[in-house]
Amino acid sequence: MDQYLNLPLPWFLSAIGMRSVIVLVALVAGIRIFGKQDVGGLTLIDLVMVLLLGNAVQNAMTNGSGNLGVGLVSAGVLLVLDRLMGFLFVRRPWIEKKLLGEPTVIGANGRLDERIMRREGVERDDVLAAVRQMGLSELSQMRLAVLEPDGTISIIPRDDEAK
Amino acid sequence: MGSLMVQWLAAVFSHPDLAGALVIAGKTALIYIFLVVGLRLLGKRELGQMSIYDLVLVVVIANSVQNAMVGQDTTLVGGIVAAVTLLLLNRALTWLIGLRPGIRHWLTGDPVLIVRNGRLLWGAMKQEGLTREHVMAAMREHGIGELDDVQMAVLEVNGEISIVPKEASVHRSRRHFRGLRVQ
Repeated sequence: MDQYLNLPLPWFLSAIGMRSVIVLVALVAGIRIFGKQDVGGLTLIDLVMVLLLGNAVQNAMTNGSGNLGVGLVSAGVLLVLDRLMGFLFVRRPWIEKKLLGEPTVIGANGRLDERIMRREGVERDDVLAAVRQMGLSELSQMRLAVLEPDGTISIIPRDDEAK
Repeated sequence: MGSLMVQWLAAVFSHPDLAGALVIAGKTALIYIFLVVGLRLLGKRELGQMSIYDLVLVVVIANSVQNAMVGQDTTLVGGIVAAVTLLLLNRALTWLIGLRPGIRHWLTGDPVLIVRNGRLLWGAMKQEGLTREHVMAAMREHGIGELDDVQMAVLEVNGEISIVPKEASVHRSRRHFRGLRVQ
């Protein structure tokens, strides 16, 4: 089963931990580089994509081992890393900005900035959907449209449209 | 101790040979394409509409293709090859969508008008599998109790229902209906 069982168990487990670290870092970097900047919330395809990615790297982390210790070490390392990243984001906000991006103004006073939208991969339809979700019926009722780092579009209505 | 260290490094940085890596990339690519097309044919593109059964289905599908992607390969690099293949293909799809908006419409569908001037459009709702209760729930989320107070409701491509109340309709034009699929 495990081709590295000639390694003493603590060594093997630490190798598993190391592999989990490398896989997570590679995934974060990969998503940052190739990840879609597409917006409009999580679609079914996005969800499938996330699950596929998780499954694709499973053996790379666990070496295909069903050993309980291997699973615990791998999951534990991932949890600790996530925690560390949370700490890092608080201490060094620029890292979070680098990884997650910054909010971007894509339109103001009923007008959209086509150039910025093209750069961010936002389509007019996405903005119109966000406008409707704010309960507005027309673009002209929008004061500000902001693309948030999580990919959602915030719409701030003109003062006279505020409910 | 030295040889232990070498073995440890080998255990960490394990990798398939080039042919193995290419096989993984090829199989992963086929699975991605199969799933994108398959999910579209299934018709449920919207996460917001998904029930717990749909979610289970998605998780099971993802698990069912796992071995088909990386197979018996248990190496670090093998998994990363599969992941990068998926990310690259997703990127390519996004690029293709930007190039030909028609593909986007085929993949994610169009927003659908389901309420106009306080009246439910049953044809559209039936087609999208929406019940009156779905629409009422979305209205309540917006603090609206009466269907009469709704100027329009739209099922967005992400499965959420947008509600535009009547008071907001200072502009009496119908331009905003343009681009919406009206049954």
